Amino acid sequence: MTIEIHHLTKQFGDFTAVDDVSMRVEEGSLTALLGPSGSGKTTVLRMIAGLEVPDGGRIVVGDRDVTDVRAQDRNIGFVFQQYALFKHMRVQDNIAFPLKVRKWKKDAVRERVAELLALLRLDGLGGRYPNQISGGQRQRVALARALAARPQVLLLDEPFSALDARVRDELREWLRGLHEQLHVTSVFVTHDQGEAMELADEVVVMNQGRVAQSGTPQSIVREPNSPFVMNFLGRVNELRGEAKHGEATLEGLRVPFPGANGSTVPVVGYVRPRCLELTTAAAAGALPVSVVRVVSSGDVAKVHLVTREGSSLVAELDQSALDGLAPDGGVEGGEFHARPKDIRVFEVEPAVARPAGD
Amino acid sequence: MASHSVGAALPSEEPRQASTSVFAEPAWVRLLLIVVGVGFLGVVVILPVALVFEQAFALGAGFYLDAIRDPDTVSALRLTLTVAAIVVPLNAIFGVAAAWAITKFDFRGKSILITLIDLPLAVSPVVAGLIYVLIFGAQGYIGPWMREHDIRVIFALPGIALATTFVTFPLVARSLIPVMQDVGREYEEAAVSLGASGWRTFWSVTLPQAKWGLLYGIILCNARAMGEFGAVAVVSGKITGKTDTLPLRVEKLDKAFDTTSAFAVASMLVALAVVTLVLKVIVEWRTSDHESGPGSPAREHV
Amino acid sequence: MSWLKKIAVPLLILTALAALVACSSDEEPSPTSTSTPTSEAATGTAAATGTAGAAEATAAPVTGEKIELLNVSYDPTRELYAEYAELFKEHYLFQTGIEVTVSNSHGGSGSQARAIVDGLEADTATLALSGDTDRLVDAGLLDEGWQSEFPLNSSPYTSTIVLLVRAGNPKGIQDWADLSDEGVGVITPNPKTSGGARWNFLAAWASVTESGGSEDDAKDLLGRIFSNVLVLDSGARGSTQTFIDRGIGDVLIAWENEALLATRDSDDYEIVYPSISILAEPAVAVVDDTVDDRGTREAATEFLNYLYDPEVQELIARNFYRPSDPDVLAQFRDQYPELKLVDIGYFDGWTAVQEKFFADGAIFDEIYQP
Repeated sequence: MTIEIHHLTKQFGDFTAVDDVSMRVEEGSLTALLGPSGSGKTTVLRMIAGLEVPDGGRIVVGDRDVTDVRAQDRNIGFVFQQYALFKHMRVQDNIAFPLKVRKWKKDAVRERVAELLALLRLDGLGGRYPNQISGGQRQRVALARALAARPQVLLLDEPFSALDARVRDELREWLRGLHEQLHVTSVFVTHDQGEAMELADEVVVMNQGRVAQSGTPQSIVREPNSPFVMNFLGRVNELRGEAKHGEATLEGLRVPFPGANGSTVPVVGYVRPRCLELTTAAAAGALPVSVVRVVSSGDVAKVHLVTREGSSLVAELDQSALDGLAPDGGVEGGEFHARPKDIRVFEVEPAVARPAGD
Repeated sequence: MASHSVGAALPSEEPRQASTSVFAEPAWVRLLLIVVGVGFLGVVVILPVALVFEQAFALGAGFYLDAIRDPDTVSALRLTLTVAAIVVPLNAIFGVAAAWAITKFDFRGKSILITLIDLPLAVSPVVAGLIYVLIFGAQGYIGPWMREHDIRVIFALPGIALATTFVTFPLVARSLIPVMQDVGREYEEAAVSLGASGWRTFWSVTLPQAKWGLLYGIILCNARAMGEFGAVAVVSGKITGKTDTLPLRVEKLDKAFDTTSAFAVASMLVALAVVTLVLKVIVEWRTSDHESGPGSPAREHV
Repeated sequence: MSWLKKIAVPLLILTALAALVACSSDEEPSPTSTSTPTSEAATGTAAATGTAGAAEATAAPVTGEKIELLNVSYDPTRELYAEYAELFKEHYLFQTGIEVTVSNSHGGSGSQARAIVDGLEADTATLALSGDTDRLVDAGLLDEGWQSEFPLNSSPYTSTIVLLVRAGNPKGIQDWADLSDEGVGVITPNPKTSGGARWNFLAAWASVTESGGSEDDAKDLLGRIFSNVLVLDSGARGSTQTFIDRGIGDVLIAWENEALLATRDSDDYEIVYPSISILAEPAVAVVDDTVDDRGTREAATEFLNYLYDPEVQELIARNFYRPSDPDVLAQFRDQYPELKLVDIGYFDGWTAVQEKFFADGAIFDEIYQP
């Protein structure tokens, strides 16, 4: 089933949680709603499930407009952040709950529960109570329960946030595998960009109740469309300057900026630490910098730099490249040249920043 | 309020661990605390209760049996149980409805409802009784009409039940509200997203998770319903053998210098309280066996 | 052994309780229906059995008709009316062939009057003070002139105020004047809140004015008595408990019936009869409104009339009230020694008393400042 969202809006008092959001989730895809807290991603998810009533806009699942359909009639599986397992029911009764509600026959219920216990590797735990199993197991019970009635769509709210790091990594891979096996259209909410990039076919980045950017993980990483997305996807260095006549000047560095015409506009350029190269000799498109400090963690070293104009930068270099710069070992305090391999320049003020190539 | 202890009585969510206390106090501190706790309990609770029984048996078991077999006392016991049987279910239903409305919905006048629920706790029971006299009394608002139609409310069972209901109605709601707030909305949302109707959600999810609060509230309500004196005294008419409840009977016997009989009847009230507590303990045992049994916490393995 | 006893006792109670509940569960549970028949073995008196014996001989034919009466009275008459109800049942059945069941309601006299006004359907009101009964007249439930319906101002029994002292009378209290001696601790309730306390006050007052003293002398005595009061409880019962249960004070100014009750089971107290006291006349009345409504006038009237019967007067005497029948009173002289008594008429009635003594700023406020 596809999910189409048209101009969805939701206010909580004076706070606009979701502001004119439209998106489309393809059938069988695994889509991530990514954003910082308060960006409205969970509210969108809850509105799809029917747990919040939108103030405006439509939600269409498959070819059915569900905007005015009650949550209990939507047949959408929802996995809660803290799982919301019924503590007074055993694992098997939790999983059977949606089936009993739908008045399935006893045999069918038993069969389906057994099937799900096996699918989610919960064999032997059916008779336990939720407080007698581990966090990871609880999450799988929640999944089994959400999947039991064969929902059209599966929604997961921060599915891994309640787990510790090791379990989280294992579960991610496993969930990806499960999705490939079941192919139920799934949407999950996360604030962890790594999680979104690793798991999702499609990522929708949200900010302040709006969609900031959507696309495949690769396209978003490669072509962030705004300072916000740029910033949200990982650490960046900022270089400020101005642009005129299709060219930006950032602390002496000249970069093409097709967006600028005759008048001067303030701009900021973003460079990822991985995209800064250090050289000993001056080169075209490189800035003179001095090394303040080097923090090495084995293969990769973080080099803290300062430009002539006083801006702080960080470059991430392979240890071998760093060793090549100063064979005698003394990099700290040395003068070098930093060359951005990839820089993205945005105009500072306007609401919609225009991307530019390098 | 006592409701905090309800929250504490809930089975913990995390698997239990057989860990030793991190507060490794010296043995004498623990001993001192235990002695103080038990000693205080003994002086404040156990001693008076023991005295009730001692006084009740002051003239021997034969006298005691005669006192509690007195037809007027039996009638008082029956009336007390009847009132409790009417009031407790009524307040359980009301309390659940009110607690549900207050914890799960936002509506106009919610704060007024909360205040109204607390009102009987703030109003003296005597005033509560007088309110009903003012309404149903012969000089009251609808009393004359009721008398014409031969309907008796005050100085009869309905009045006693009404006054008792008034006095005890906050108890179930007040015990439930914090527990239902603790349970959290997401369990109900989970049930709804799984296809359950509001009604089904309430019975299968909300109520079972709040059952400790409900049970506690019912026990409290029952104890108060059987023990209420002030409000009932005003509306009962105190007709011996007819509208005397056990507490009124105790007072009447005491006023007539029949101290031993008074304590004998008082011991029945105490015994009723003990029965209630035993029931509570039994329910607790059975439920905790079920829910958080000896199963050791499972190891994390994915 | 004592441990065994401690375990056995609660067990016994639980069992007894279970048995009681089981026994009574098959009976009609509604307390508004017919009253529980009281067991004759428990409350029947020798006199009652005697009447029953006679009934077999010359009883009126049993009609099968049944009547219920509600008698609303005040606290200390509980045992009296419980016994009387049985006696009257036999009497009325014998006389008319109608079975009458009397229920009794007891409480503070004032609040009982209030309850009748509020709709407690009393067939008879046997309250402590005629002033309380007068409130039924105000509410239109009772016709004026009710106090002349029955003999002797409708007072089939009376009581008076006496002094209760500790065994051996260590302070040598003989009369009202001794209460003003230095070092005597006096217990009485507050006349502002208690009806009984007003009787106490008036009795002491009369002791001065009846022996030739002036009103100023009376004020002086009462001022000194009240300066000896250790605890001023709000009600008569509270004062009794202060004196008996808490052991405070040397003398309690008390109702005679209350004092007799206190000395019945205990040798720790004795009664001192002062030279003069006051005659308290609890008056009885048939509540016209109720009996007309329920058609019970005949039975209710007989219920009160029969109180004057010598046989019942004896019952009254045994229950610590002074019988109005002179022969019966003479028979119980030991229990009720002759006393010089003044009645409320001596003070021109309750309205005058209230105004003169107990209203704000009146004599009591004058002589007593807490």
